Amino acid sequence: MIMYKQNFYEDIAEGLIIGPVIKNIDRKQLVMYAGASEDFNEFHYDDDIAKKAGHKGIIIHGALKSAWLAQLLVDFVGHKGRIRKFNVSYRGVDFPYEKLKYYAKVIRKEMIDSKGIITLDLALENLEGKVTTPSNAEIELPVKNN
Amino acid sequence: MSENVIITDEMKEFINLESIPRVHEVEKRLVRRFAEAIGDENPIYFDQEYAEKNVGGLIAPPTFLRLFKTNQLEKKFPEPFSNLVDGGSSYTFYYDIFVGDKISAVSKITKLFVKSGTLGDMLFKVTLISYTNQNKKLVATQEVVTITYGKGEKTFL
Repeated sequence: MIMYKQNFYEDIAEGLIIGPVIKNIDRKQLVMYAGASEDFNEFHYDDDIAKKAGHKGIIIHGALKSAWLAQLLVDFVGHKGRIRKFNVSYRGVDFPYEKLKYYAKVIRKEMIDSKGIITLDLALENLEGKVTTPSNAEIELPVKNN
Repeated sequence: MSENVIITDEMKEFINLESIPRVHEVEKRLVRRFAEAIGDENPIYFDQEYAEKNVGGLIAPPTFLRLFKTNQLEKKFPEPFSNLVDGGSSYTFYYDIFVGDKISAVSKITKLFVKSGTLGDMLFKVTLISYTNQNKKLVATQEVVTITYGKGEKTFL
């Protein structure tokens, strides 16, 4: 089993990079996500429909990319922290069988009402290094001396 | 085409119309399947004992909210375009969602606007979805941007 280390507010510095995580998924994962999320839009698993919609082939669900970015945040906040806000924009589509990379960067930390609040920017990049999915978040980490 | 031509009065009538609440039970099996589908092995989503010890019970991943579909309005939105793109989401989380919770989802369109780009005219639709649990606590909201464009054979559901 994966061991989750608890991060504390005091230990996190502005500028810290979390990740990167590399993904290279196949059609089966998209079919699994279609089923699990009940999003049956066919351009996620039928090449002909994807091409009709103007894509070079089937595209990854935007919400699946969000799920990966959110996972990065959940792992970072640990069991004692939490995500407060999470914004994600889909600026470009991504495809299975291509190497994707995502990461987060700590932008700001601030104590608000005795809570350790951290603001992060996140990004998911395609093969060419283009950010297709920019994102940002506000999280809360536990404070050691609270 | 100008914004006024694309966004008809009939469309404007949809702004702030709330859907009838739709209640979803957070089923253990669905949470596990969702975690598997996104490739997340965090035991808080499937290991009962571990989850109880660490987070107070099995919880759902943040974007599991996507499963809480909302009811359609009585009238169907007069969609002018044939292709659809999900533009993104803004989530605000207030409380965890636990397995066994009953989540009520309500949606409303809050904004409609038009932008022109390489794909021609595009209609942007901003929808706010609110999620409330069985204790009447607002647990989260999601603001979704949906973009439609193009004339032709419809390629989305």
